[in-house]
Amino acid sequence: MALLNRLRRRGSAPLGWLLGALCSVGFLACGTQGSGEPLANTWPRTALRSFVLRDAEQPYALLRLGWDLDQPAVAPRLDDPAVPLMVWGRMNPRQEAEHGVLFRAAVTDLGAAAPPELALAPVAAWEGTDLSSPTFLPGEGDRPPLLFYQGGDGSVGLARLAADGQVQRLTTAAPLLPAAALGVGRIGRLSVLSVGSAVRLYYLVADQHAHFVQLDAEALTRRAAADSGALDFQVSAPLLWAADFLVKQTAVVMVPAERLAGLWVRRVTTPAGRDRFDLYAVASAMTKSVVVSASSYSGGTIGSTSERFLPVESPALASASEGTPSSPAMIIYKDQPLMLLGLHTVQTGIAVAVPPS
Amino acid sequence: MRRRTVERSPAPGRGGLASPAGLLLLGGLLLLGDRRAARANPLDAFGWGARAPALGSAYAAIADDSAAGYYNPAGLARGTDLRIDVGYQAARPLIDVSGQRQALKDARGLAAGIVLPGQILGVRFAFGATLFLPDQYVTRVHVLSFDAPRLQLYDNRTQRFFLGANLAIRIYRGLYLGGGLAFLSRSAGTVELRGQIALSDPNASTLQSAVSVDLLAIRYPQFGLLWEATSNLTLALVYRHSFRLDLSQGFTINADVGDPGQTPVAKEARLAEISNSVDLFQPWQLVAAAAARFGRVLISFDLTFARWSEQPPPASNFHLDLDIGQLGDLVKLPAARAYPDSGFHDLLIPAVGVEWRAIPSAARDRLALDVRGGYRYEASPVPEQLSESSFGDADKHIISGGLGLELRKLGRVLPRPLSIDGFAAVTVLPERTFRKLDPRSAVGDFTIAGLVWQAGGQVRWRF
Repeated sequence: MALLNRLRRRGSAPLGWLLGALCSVGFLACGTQGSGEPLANTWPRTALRSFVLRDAEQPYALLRLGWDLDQPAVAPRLDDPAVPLMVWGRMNPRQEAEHGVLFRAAVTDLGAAAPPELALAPVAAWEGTDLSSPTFLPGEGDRPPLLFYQGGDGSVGLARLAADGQVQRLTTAAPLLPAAALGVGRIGRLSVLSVGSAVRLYYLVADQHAHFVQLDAEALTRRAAADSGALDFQVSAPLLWAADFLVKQTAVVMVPAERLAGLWVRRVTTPAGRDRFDLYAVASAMTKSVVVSASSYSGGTIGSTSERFLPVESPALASASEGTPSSPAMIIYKDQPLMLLGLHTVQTGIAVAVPPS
Repeated sequence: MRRRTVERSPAPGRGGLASPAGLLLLGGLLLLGDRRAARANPLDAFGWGARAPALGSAYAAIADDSAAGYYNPAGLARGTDLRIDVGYQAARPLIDVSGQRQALKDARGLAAGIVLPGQILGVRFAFGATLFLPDQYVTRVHVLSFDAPRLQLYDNRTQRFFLGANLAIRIYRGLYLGGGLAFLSRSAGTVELRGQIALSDPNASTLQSAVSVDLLAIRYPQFGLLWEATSNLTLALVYRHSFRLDLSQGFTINADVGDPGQTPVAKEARLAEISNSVDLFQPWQLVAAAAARFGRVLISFDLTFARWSEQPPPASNFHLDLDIGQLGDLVKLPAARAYPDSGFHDLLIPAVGVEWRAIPSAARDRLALDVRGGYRYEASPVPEQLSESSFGDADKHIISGGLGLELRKLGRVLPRPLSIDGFAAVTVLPERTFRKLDPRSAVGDFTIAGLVWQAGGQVRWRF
């Protein structure tokens, strides 16, 4: 009212209209419409994450009639979507678990892969009758892409991967690393990583504890160039124990894992620019097996027992009632993280798991 | 009757009035009678109007228009003209987390205000109303779990309606005192179920529901003092109280437990749950300001102390109350959890603004032009996020500029100068890296970087 009186006193009749117009503009400019739309979760996470089988009814990406396929690994490739994913692994005839060979299969679509074909069969005496654990070290500088694998007793062999996909064995006379030097007990699946000026091969001993053996990267490059000289290596203290993980038996009962198998280690660079090492394996207790994970910023160090992997409480793969999981491997395919793994139902094949949507 | 209660609460916070300025203003606060003070609005982040943001929001010692309703209520009484200011302002945050752009909402809306001067018993006074009305959301709330990552200061802090009503008086020649209230609302709601719960067949339960939601008014105070020490020097002191917006939601079941037609196992059993969540928090602030005029140049400086260390953990407190008679011993309520202190840092925020009268007179003294610039540095109050919480934030460098056109001699309708102001500003958030102690963190290391673009315009009338 004081305002109006003031305006009237100044004899500004048009001013009232001006004020009215302003108020109208104000109201027109105001919207009160809201919504209960869910918040978009676009926060990027580089952390360990859980996976679910891509298709619970048909989880397999690779199968071969009469054969069991396991221990998937992806060969290094150009970062070109047109280049098919070359999945390697171990396969053995059904009921003949000790007669393994390495296979490879070109995968252009996870639902349509070429049939697995024989890639490497045991030839050398030290290899025995069984090959397993293919794992690849990408080429760097003068060093070509290298394939590490295991013979029947767990000893480590080395091969060079040519650009046309041909494999040239570099350890025909003797293994690169004899099993006895890696630990006492059964030597489990290998997983290779390049870490600075060193190359590490992670593995399990006696299904109980994880280690790595460290090689000098330059010496390995010379070895790959057919130098037959000795290769120095160092073996780490245990990085992780099977009992670090709990395996769910019933809705309320969790028991420590009795054994670990199928170890896989990857190195990721966090947005902060530091390395983080993620370890995946299958932990088993009694009849239950689950894919588990653990993580470490250092990946372990030679000569120190304090730099251990820290186990993640929740399983890396949600309950796989469809079968028994084995040998996980993590890859990035079409910018999406994927988990390849062996999955045993009536037969064993390579299955695909994806992050839950 | 056996009653079991579990209460979850964050670490105790410090009192909102335990500050020197708070003590000085205690009397005023008591008069206001509501300790739930509030200041959580886009004005804190982006300023109000067009002249003030152009000057880096260093405006507490300059304010004499309706912007004083936010920057310094004492400034309302400086002039004798009736003032009406209407404008529009917008801010667009373009902030990346680990290189990925986040879907943040713009903060834009109508900025309008009015100043009504008067005189009673020889005392000059002025009433002012200052409004920011967003055109997307009048208010926006959401509740996230404590470990959910978020951009703490840009998430929904800037989606807020603001209405300030202030009164200022001239105590003595050149000395002004002002204060006022801003209004906000919070919601409190309960859902109540009453009847019988059938044990063996839940579908046979007969329960009547009632929903009750209240919108509760929150008022928060602010006070300002302004002293025109000389004709060219002005000093100011402003206090803004803290604000905490809670969401309160409850759920109550009052029922007999047992199958229909049979004696209830538990008669008049009761389960009550109330959750209180901190949706927004803004710290109390104390602003010391000065403005000096050197010929055609006006320089202003604000220094703001912001008490961010009182930031409560942004998580829900649950209060569970269970009464099921003799069966109470069979039920184990989950243990209470105390959230860690947020650990935010108190801040000193400097801001400087310069206004140059580039064209003092043109077109037969009908036109003048001001050129403005400002800078404001606001460090991040957010500490390292080493463990469970992931509150993303970075330091902020706010660089602004603007123009002010003053039109004079517009005739009988507008006998006083009409001001048309425009501004643009950019807030630069240099990259900040957050590292987690535990490599198993569900969020992991992350980086924050980005820009916030602002622009706006306002027309200011004087009558």
